[in-house]
Formats: sequence, structure tokens, C-alpha cells
Amino acid sequence: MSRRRVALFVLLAAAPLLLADVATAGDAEPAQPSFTELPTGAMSDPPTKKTPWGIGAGERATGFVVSRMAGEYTMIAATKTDMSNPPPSGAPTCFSQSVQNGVSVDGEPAAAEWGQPQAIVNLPSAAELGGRNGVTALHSERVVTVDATRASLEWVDAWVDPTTRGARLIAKGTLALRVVRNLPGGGLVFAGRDAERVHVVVVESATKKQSFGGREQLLSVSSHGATSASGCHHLRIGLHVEKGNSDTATLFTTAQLPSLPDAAPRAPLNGKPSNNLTTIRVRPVAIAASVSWATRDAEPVVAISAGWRAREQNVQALDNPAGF
Amino acid sequence: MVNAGSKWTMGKFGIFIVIAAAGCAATKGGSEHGPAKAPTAAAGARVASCAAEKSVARPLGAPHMGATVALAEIGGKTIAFVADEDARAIEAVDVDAAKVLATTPLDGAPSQLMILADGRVVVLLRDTSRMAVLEAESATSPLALRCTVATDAEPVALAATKDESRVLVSAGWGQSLGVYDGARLALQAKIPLPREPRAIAVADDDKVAYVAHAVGGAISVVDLATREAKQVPLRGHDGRFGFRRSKKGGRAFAKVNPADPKEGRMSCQSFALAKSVAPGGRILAPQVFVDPGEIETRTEGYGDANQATEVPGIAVLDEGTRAPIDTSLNLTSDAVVFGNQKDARDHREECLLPRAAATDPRSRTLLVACAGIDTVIAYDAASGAPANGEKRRWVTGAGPSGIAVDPKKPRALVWSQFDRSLSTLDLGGTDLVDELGKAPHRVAHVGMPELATPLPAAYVLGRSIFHAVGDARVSKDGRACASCHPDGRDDAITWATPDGPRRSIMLAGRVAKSSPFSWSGGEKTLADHLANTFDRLGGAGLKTLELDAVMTYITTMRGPTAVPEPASGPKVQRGAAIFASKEAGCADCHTSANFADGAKHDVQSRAKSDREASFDTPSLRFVGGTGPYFHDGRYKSLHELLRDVDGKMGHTKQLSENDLDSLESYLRTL
Repeated sequence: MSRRRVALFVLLAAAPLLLADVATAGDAEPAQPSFTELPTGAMSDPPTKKTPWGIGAGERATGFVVSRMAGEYTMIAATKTDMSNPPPSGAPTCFSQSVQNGVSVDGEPAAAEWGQPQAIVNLPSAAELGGRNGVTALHSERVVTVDATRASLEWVDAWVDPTTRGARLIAKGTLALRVVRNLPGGGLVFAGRDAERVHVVVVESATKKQSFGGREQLLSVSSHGATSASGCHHLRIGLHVEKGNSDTATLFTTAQLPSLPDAAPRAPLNGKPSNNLTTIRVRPVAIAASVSWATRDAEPVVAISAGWRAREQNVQALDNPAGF
Repeated sequence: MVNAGSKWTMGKFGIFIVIAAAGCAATKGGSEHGPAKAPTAAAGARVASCAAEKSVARPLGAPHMGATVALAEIGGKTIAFVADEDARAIEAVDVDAAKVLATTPLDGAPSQLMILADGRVVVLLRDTSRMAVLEAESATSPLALRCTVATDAEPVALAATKDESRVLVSAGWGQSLGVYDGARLALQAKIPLPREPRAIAVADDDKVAYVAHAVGGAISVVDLATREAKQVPLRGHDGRFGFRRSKKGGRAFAKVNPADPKEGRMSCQSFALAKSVAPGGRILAPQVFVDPGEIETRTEGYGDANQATEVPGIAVLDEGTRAPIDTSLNLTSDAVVFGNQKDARDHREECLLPRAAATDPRSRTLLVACAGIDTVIAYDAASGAPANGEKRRWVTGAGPSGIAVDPKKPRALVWSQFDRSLSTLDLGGTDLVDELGKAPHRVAHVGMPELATPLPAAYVLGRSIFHAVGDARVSKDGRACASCHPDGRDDAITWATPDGPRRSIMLAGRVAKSSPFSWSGGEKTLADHLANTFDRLGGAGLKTLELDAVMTYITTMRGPTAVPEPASGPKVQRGAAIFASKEAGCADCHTSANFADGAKHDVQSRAKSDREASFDTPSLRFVGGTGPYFHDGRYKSLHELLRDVDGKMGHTKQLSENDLDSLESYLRTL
């Protein structure tokens, strides 16, 4: 066998291995940061101090647009645009109210947490309140990208009075975040920590299309069974850090995958061809997040992993929701 | 003791075939053909030659845990040694060349093997109750036998302390943990354990051994210094129990009381353990959490049709507290969240028969081999609830039973017993791979040499169906036959059924001649009984060929091969005499070779939800290892049963404590 033929044989024989190595390197995940490597900051809990009886009509809190809508209910959003036409990937600012998940044990009340995040919040009208104090604590937060691997979560808490439409700042702060997982389709998983918790934040891809049945919501299920569905661009869950204990949650999202080369032609709408609908591949993803601190751990152990939750499926999506 | 007479030659196709195994029969510390017994001090004197001589193998990694596959380096090659139960041999496979290099026949069916630091290969022979020590003299020649040592009945799993000064052996039927001197394999201690011990994992500090149990709902924590074993009950809870902030500000969960059988889900199918390396200090225990239904009520099938009966989980034990981390027992899987109603699109086959586990420190991954779905699932090993963190799956050969992680390359080797294949899993790359256009997670398979005597086709098919998870012919909710009959035995669980509470019954070695079947004695043939069972499970049922195959499998599967106590001892003989006596009356109903008369009797054991008061006389074959007892599991032990049944079932009131002990000893020999 000539030297050239030998070289060619070796090259061909090694090709699958070389290709495999390239594929592996290209798919590399960000390194899983340790607890101390997570960026830090502050995150609020619902206020425990007494709710004010009323907020003056002239009081304002930045990022809280309070409007009285038809039907006399009060709507709060970050911007007028978020109220009327949020982007397909969800409004960038999430609002939530205080909720009590779980049950009272041994006389201790269940924990109060910021609940289901929504792009807009509706509060009852003065008529519906019937003279009761309608002042409500609201939490707003949004993810601000710093660079490809870093972001910050900016949050503002305010009392909002649906009767007067006044808003009064309670507190505001920032939680630094870093990317811990890249999701197929462009989604990102961030993490950061405050004094008590590790916060895991899943952010939808900005290019995510709106499927015909509506945007697939981000969901979370905590280890105690509490569920939350996001109505906005991201979903955050705080995992409590406690020596000898663990806190876990699973977050669900949907990855939009590249279309098949032989994708079905655009689906008709009302029997007529539509340029606005396209078939896309989607696949549910489960992100498992955990903070555990066993006896022999020098520090809490943060574990964030992602896996497919179900098979892929083809769904119809809007190419241009604004033009629909 | 030492075998030096084996001769081997190379087969035509490069595979070593045994042509003469004369002299290979190893000896043991007891009668060659009689029941095995625990080795004695005398046996220790005979194991001097168990010491390493000239092994060329060096173990890859240091798991210090047995498995059906272990990796070694010989002459620069990565060799996988495989415990091939069907071939009753160890196969040596060149992993990179995907080629079987040598076959070493054994004097028994190997259950696990482990490679010690000095290159010795320790293998357990389950059906002959021995431990053999072998050495590799080259990569291409069969292993040379150094010695064999008797073990307690049915050795099933191995482990060693980090310094390998002690080798630990769990005996499935013997219900014990044997502690052996690592150099000479001399028995140091025999520690009693509950039923069906399986995998062993030694804590980082070498002070404690954790032992899984296939049934019974607990993990044994054995203090190796005091030689005391404690059971840590594992009960899964469905994640709906709420939480509260503790006074420190953290979060505490409302726990179920593990001692209360009505709270939470009982663990079962705990065959495997793995040690978490990064982070350390944790033992990972894959298992299944079972809801058998409220036994005070009658249900439509086995358990409550509106609840997921079997939910996979992975308990995480904190080596510091020797207790499970709560969240690992908090079940939030799809099956719990959505009950038994599965969307075909979202359907994922669950790991209801976990049989082996290993960790990959590089990726902080726990790999679990799942029989029944022939899949290895990767979980997040660093999670406080690893079962929630499924990362990816690989399809393996049929019946995966062992995993070895290669520390030099991102790969794992998986031995699958049912089709006798070795799969190489690519652990590299990302967990989330779009399957469009590329194989998501590569697997390579190597088949083994054909068996000299092929297994009967019906047996092979029956074994496959018996272990099939998610098979609509068998059950609606995915349960396999092996779910309630792990290793062909019983799950020690009392199920709520349409007839009332019913204990699962051991099949292996005793079903063939036990007509009529079921506690109610309603089915005269095994075929009828199986068809009724599948119907109650919501399964569509099997065709004749498949049903015949399952019957072939369950009537030929081996029962336990040794008894804990010699049948010839005076105590046992006294017990046999009592059993046969008219005064005691045991033999009035427990007659024939199977110790059953085929008739129904009212022994005043009717429970609240029982339809009838009379029950078929159960076989007493292997009764010593199949508690709890009676159709509703009311007696935890034979001791308890024999002291309570007087006047209702035989007469034992007149017997002294010694006689009752003798009777119990006799029953344990059946």
C-alpha cells in the first residue's frame, strides 16, 4: 500500500472520531458554577409590615403604569405596549402578588411568596371592593442582559391602590445573574443568589414564535407541589438554602427547533392559504433545579440540569403576530 | 481450594473456548452438594491462597462496588469483565476493539464482580453461594482461579472499603452482610439483615455500609465497627404536603411518618446503589415508590386505579445523618402529577425496574440501568431530588443489569443480560440534542459468543414479557410482572384488590405445582390465573404463545438455592416432628411436596374488605424468606405468626418456646 493510500485510509478511519469530537466540543454546556461562584444581589419577599390604608392619587412608582379599564377594574403593567400588544416571547417585565403556598404546620403560617408572574395585573374596582382596603403589594421584575453570559434582574416592589390608582415604592434592588444552561432554540437559564436563596431564572428566546394555540407558557413545580405559570418573558423560582436540607423545583419550557427541510406547506386558514402561519417543531424541556446542603458539603450544592420532557411535535405558529 | 488445572485454547474465530475445565470445580467450606452454610473460621484457613499472585489487570476507576461489568486496563487495553449469568462465565471484552477476548467458565451463575486494586477479580456465584477470586494473566487468556470461599446463601452484591481491607458481600436469601478480610477473603463477621438485601455502598469514611433491599421499604445502615444494622425506612410522598418556613427562616417540609404504613408510598425495587463523588458524602438509591391502595377497601384492580401505583424515585442518603434528604423522597414525577392518565404524545417510559447504578463524576451524572424499558437514564447526581433531573436516555440491550463508567474517556459500559450484549454509551456532549439529522446519544453494542446450550425460546420470550414495563398487554399503568415479583419473588406488599387485601406471592421455584392459584383458590390453571391477573391490572392480555412463554418462564425460574440452616440439625428435626404431629396439625393442610392441600380453609383471618372468609392453603416452599405472612400480611414474622394462630390454624399453644423455635427453624428449611 502506498504511503498516500495509507494516509487516506487513516484519515477516513479517523473521520468519524474527529467529527464526533468536533460535535461534542461545539455542544459544550457552560460550566456548572458552584454556590460561591454564583453572582449575588438582593431579592425581596412580600412585605410583612402593615398594609397602608390608601395611596395618594398623585403618588407614582417607576415602572408601574396603573390604568382604569372598561368594567372599572384596574390594570397594572410596565408600559402601555405591554398592556395592549406584548411581544410573542412575552412581556419583558413580570408582575406578581403575594401568595401563601403550602399549609400551616405546628401553628406557623405558610410562607408568603411572590406568586404567579404576569405581564399585567388586574385589581378589583372600588365598587367591587365595597369600601374594603384594596391596596396591594406588587412585585415587578425584568431581566436586563449585560453580555452573552451575564444579566441582572431588576426588581421594584410597590403598593398600588386600585381606588386612587396611586403607587408607592416599597423597595427596589438588583440581583446579578449568570448563564448556567443554554437551551435549544435560544432560551437561557440564569442563576444568582441572595442571602437566603438561589434564584433560577428561565428566559425565553426573543425570537420565539407564537404558536397558533397561544404562547407555550413557562411553568414551574416546586418540590412541595406549588405550581406557577408565567405570563411574561421569564420565570424565576427561589430555592431556599438551609444546612441539612434541600429545596428543588422543576421548570418547564418549550424549545422551538429548526424547521424540517421538508416542512409541510403553510397551513390554510379558514380554507385559504395563509402566509402568516408556519409549521414549527417544538419540544418540551424540563429544567431541574436544586440546592442541597448535606452534612459533609462544605457549601450548598447547586444543581441545574435540563432534559427533554416529551417527544417533539409540529405545531402551527404565527410568522407575524402583529399582522395577524 | 486452588484450581490450577484449567486448560484453554483459542477458538477458530479468535474467541477462547473452553475445551477442558477439569479440576475447575472449586471447593467450598461445606458439603459440595448440600445446602451452603456460612463459612467458618476453618474456612478462613483455607483461603490463604486468595492473595494476589501475578495479575496483570489494573482496575479503571475505584468504585469499590460490585457490578455485572467492571473495567480494567491490561497491556494498554481497556478490558470490560462481564458477569454473564446465562453463560455462567466471565467474558473479557476489549472495549475499543469491540471484541470478546476470552471466556472464563465458572462453577455457578455470577451475580456481581469487582476488581481489586491488586488486580484480583472477585466474583460472586449466586446459585452455588460462593465467592471466587481470579486473576488475569494476560488480556487474551481466561482468568485463572485462585480460590473460592463459601458465602451465606445466595450472594448478590459486593463492595469494599477504600483501602480494600474489607470486602463486603450481601446474601439475598441468607439475609446477611458478610464482612471478609480483603487480603485473604476470610470471614470476619456475618451481620443479619432483613429480606432480600442487594447492592452495597460504603460511606466515604469507611465506617458505614449502606445496603439496598429489593423489598421491604428500607435501606440498611450497617455500622462496620459495632456490626449493628439499622433500617432506615424510605417512604415517598407525593409532593402535595405543603411546607412552612422554619424558625431559622429556611424551609422545612411537612413530612410523612415513615413508620406509618398508611402515610406516603412504600419503597420497593431497591436493587442498586451509587456513591456520589462530586459532591461526596451522598448515597444515591434508585427505587420505586408504591401505592398499593387502601387495604380496608376493595378496588378495581391491584391498588387504586385513580392513583399512580408505581412511581420511580431516587433517594439521596446523607452520609452524615445516615438519613434521606427529604426532597429526594418528594415525588413530583409526571405519574404523580397526572395520575395514571398519560397523554400518548407525552408518554415517557418510566424506570420501574432499576437494576444498576453508577455515577460519572466528570458530568455529575447518575446513570441508572432500567430493566423493562432497556434504557439507561442519566440524572443529575448533585440534585437533592435526582429523579426530577432527568438529563438524557440511551437505549441498551435487553435486560440491562450493570454499569461501569470509564474514568479515562467520557463513556460507560452497560451489560444487558437478556440479550447478552455490552453497550458502550457516549457520555460526552450536551444533554439536549435535537434528534433532527443526527443520532442524539450514540450507543455501540457488542454481542457475546453463543451459549453452548441455548436457552429455550419460550423461556427467553417469557423472561422478556415478565420484565416488560409499559406493556399494554400486561397492565394499564405500566407495571411489569417483575414489579410485584422482583427476581420472580414477592414484593412483600399487601395490595388492595377486588377481593380484599392480598399479599403478593413468591413465584420462583414454587408456582409449578401450587394449583389452585390465588389466595381465593379460584383459578385451577396457571393460564387462567395469569389471564385474571392481567385483567385486574387493566392489561389487554397475552396471546397463547406469549402466555405459554410466561408460564414457561415462571415455572422454570430458579428458587433460592440454599437454606439458612442445615436441614439435618437436631433443632430442625425436632421442628419437623412437631410439624408432622397430630397435636400441632400443621401437616393436615400443608401436605404434599409443595406443602399445600389445594383446598380452602377459614382460619379466622377475614379482613374488613375480604369478600370471603376462606383462603387457599398457600405453599410453604421458601416460607422462611417471604414475610410478612397471611393473605393480608398481618404477621411480620414467622415468630409472630406461630404464637398467634393457635386454635385458628393448627395448635401451637401447647408448645414450649424451644419447640416453637424448632418449628420455625424447620419451616425455614422448606
